[in-house]
Amino acid sequence: MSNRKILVVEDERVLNGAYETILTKSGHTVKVAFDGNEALEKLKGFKPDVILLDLKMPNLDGIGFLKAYNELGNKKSSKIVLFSNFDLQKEIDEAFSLGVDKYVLKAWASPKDLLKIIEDVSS
Amino acid sequence: MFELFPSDIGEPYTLIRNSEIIINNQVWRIAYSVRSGIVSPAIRERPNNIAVGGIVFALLVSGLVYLLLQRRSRIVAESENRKLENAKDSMLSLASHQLRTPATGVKQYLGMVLEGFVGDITTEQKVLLQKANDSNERQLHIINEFLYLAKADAERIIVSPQKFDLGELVDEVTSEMNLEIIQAGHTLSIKQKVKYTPVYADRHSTRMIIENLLSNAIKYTPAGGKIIIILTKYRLNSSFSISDSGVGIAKKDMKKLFQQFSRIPNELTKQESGSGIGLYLSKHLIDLNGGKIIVESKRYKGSTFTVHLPNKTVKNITVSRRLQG
Repeated sequence: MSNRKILVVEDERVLNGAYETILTKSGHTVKVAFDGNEALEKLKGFKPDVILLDLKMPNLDGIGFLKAYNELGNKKSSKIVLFSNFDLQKEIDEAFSLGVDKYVLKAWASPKDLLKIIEDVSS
Repeated sequence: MFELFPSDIGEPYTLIRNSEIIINNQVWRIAYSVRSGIVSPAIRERPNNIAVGGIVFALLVSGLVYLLLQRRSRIVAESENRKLENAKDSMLSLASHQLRTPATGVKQYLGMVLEGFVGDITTEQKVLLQKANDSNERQLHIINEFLYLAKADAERIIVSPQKFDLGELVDEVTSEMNLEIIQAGHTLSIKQKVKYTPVYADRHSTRMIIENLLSNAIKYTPAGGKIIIILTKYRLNSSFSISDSGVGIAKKDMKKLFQQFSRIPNELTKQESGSGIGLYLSKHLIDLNGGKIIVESKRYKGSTFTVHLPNKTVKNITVSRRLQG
């Protein structure tokens, strides 16, 4: 798989660290953020191919991030994977309407599954 | 109002009562008469139009008030129900999020070691870590089952049907569960009569159904058993059947099979873990997807569970459908 630029937006430090390790060890360029606000900051100097976005986060959650991201005129410049253990249909539908490309329940994805998701969505 | 008149006074007076009295040896006839058309006995018996109108009006007004009050209380009840349902949804989703997250962390770190992200490990280390991983997967599975059960009870399961190849999904699930099959000492064979077995169903819930039925086949078959999966395509649906050479189900237990928290007693029930909700949930998910399940079983010979799922859009499940009952 070719190298991709990935922004991991995840508030759980244990998971954030795990995804960073998995993706970095697989040759990807990774930046991490712990909430939506930090993610918007990181995007100022970084144009990722894929944004791995959690839904439930403090300060600015996934839905809030998507709204702000779209307002910046960034729509569709990165593929967005909603990667969450939160499965409220209403919020997932809203996320899709805001430009999410794929939703994956985090609990089902092993490290290898994560790499496959990145490959599928960015190819 | 009453006047004293001779009884034969005639119109416009009407005799309503008369009697005779004797005063100083003279007989007097006393007639109580009233003016006809005003208070005649017939008119007295007829209801008063104004009174009737008043009663009808009062009834109409009170009926209208009753209807308005009923409508208002229905709107309030519906709004309260909606609030309650939304609260239930949020609570279930929050619970799922909180319960899944720690186990997801364990899955990532064990996965990194097991899948070779940090170098080689010895076979013994791999066996031990695999056991930890299996246990964690089981925990995630139980969390998921209980959350689905809670959602089913609250009628909040949403299915999103899409067209996909049932055979491909069966291959995916069986390859993931292959280790479990091998560890139990069973052999698995998949027979597919046609290359493509399309279904129009919710992929995630179909996966849960296959996992559950295959897991039961593995658990309730003594070591060294045979498991056969047959995929078939029909005109309106495709099916998969999972047959095992296991302990089977007694005829008397068949009706308990799809009941919540029911575990059918057999030689292997005690040594195998089970929540007693797998088949209950599977049956509901099959119903939700517009499919059906058929069970054939013979004690000590084995069981066959066949699931049919539609291959076209079924009315009422085109977008989403809530669980009924």
